[in-house]
Amino acid sequence: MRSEDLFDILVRQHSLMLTAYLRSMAFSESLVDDVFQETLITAWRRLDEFDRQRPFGPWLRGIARNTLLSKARGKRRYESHIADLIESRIAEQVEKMDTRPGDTFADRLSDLRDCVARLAADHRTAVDLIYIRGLDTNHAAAAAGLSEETFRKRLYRARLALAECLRSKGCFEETLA
Amino acid sequence: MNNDNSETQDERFGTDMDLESAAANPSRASDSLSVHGLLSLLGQDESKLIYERVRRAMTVIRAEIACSETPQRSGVLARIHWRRGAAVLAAAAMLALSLIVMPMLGDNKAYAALRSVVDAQKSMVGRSYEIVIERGVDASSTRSTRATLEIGSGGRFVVNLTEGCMRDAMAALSLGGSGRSPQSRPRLDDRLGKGKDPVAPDGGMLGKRPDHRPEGRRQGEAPRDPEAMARMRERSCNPDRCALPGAGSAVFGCDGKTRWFIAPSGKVMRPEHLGAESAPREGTDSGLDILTLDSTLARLEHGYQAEFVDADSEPRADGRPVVRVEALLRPGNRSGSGRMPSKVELCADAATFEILRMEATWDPASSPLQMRKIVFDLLGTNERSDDFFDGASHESESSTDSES
Repeated sequence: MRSEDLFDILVRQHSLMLTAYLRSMAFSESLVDDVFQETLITAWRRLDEFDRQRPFGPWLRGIARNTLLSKARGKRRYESHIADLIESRIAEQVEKMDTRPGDTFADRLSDLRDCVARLAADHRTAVDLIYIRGLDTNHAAAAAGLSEETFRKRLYRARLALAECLRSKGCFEETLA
Repeated sequence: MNNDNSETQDERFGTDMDLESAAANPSRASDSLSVHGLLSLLGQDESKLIYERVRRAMTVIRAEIACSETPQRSGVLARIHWRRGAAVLAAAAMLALSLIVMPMLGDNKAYAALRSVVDAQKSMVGRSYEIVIERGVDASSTRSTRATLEIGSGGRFVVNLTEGCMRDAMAALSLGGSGRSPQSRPRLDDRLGKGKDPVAPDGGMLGKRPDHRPEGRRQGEAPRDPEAMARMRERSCNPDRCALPGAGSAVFGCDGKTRWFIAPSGKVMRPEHLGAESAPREGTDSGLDILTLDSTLARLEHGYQAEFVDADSEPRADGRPVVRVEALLRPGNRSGSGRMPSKVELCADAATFEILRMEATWDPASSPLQMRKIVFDLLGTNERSDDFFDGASHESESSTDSES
């Protein structure tokens, strides 16, 4: 098998994880798209530097993070004093999820699906409208009969509830003190 | 997940709530954002979207490999493979690269973009293009013919000649041929005899076969009707002969297995009428006629000097960037047999590599069949059922009656 074909397989195994990581970090889908592409190309060019004794996922995320920071220079979402904390925390959560049992990252999402199913009905509806059906908050709020502001708060609480559920299943790191 | 790039995550997913809480509780904000990233994977077409991203990245990587001056050695995995190679193979590879790959590349970015466009085109379905064909009438004037192209899955397409000169469209079609082995397909004027009109009396150009049959007839074909011969002579003398006859338009296409053609008279012609040559041959040139885009694209990689044009200067109206590639026919190129355009300009979406516009231009001095220009403009996406690509779907009721 050719080296690029092996790399292709390796990358496909980690593509869901990389997407989840970038979506957590980036502020727009176009940025996610750009960084995703550039991360893979950079990883290929620097494959000589990869230590094969170590897992591929964290190495790929490291490249993604550096690429994202260089692309989004001056556009970070948070004040600089908390940015590093939040970004490293996201990396930890994705890492924790990535090391869960399961052949693929998709398998590891079964805990998340289970947590979604356990959400309170109004929270589950909010998650369904946005993430499964793909509506934007404006239309989802209308569909739920709420103001957009109220809907956003509900969605935020739903995500926090899911984080707690994932933590209880050992998929997320413990809350920082 | 919706992939509207002009929209921020915060607008779309309400993650601004996370930002508001970030200062007070960074841990909670990062939890919510992490969950957001994971939830976004649950969208219906998400896997498809992600694998498409991987495919695009791998296309660029493979293009880089093809473009590199030395055999690819940049990776740990690649190095393992490389060490297995003998010096003789290395020398052969270098020779092959220098003889085949390097001369065809104007610049590597152009080649990479071109490869991405070709790959994307293979998987892109449900697209509609407007085609404008300009053919020379005399040294100073041209006439235009318009058509629409619908592209479906599995090699399906329909070209509908809507306005102008069917003969010009047929002339353009005859320039296409096989993208893989252009020399192997008989040239139309070889088949008909030099100087003959490429359109048969009933518009059944695709039905012509090489002139190797005794008495110029196809096997099993009845002797030509004297009246039909007279009509052909009259037609060839008529200054308006290029006008679309009758009320209908000519339509041709491929249903994924078989090519068909509907003459303006409404008669549907399939391989049994057209001759076996017009039926797609597995692994060869099915669906690669020039009006289906593929023939030109297939040749661009092998017979043209491609150059990357500044990509950011003219983004799309919606602000998304485009890539522009200009390809000039290499001097001495044999693949086009003198029939391919001297210049092809491609404009494609930089993210999806969807072709937005392709303009093929012929040098008037050496243009075959007086072809000047063919322009493809993307009209939009248009998902069609497979039935649409069946010739029967385009057969008018009157023609059905006349057939029966």
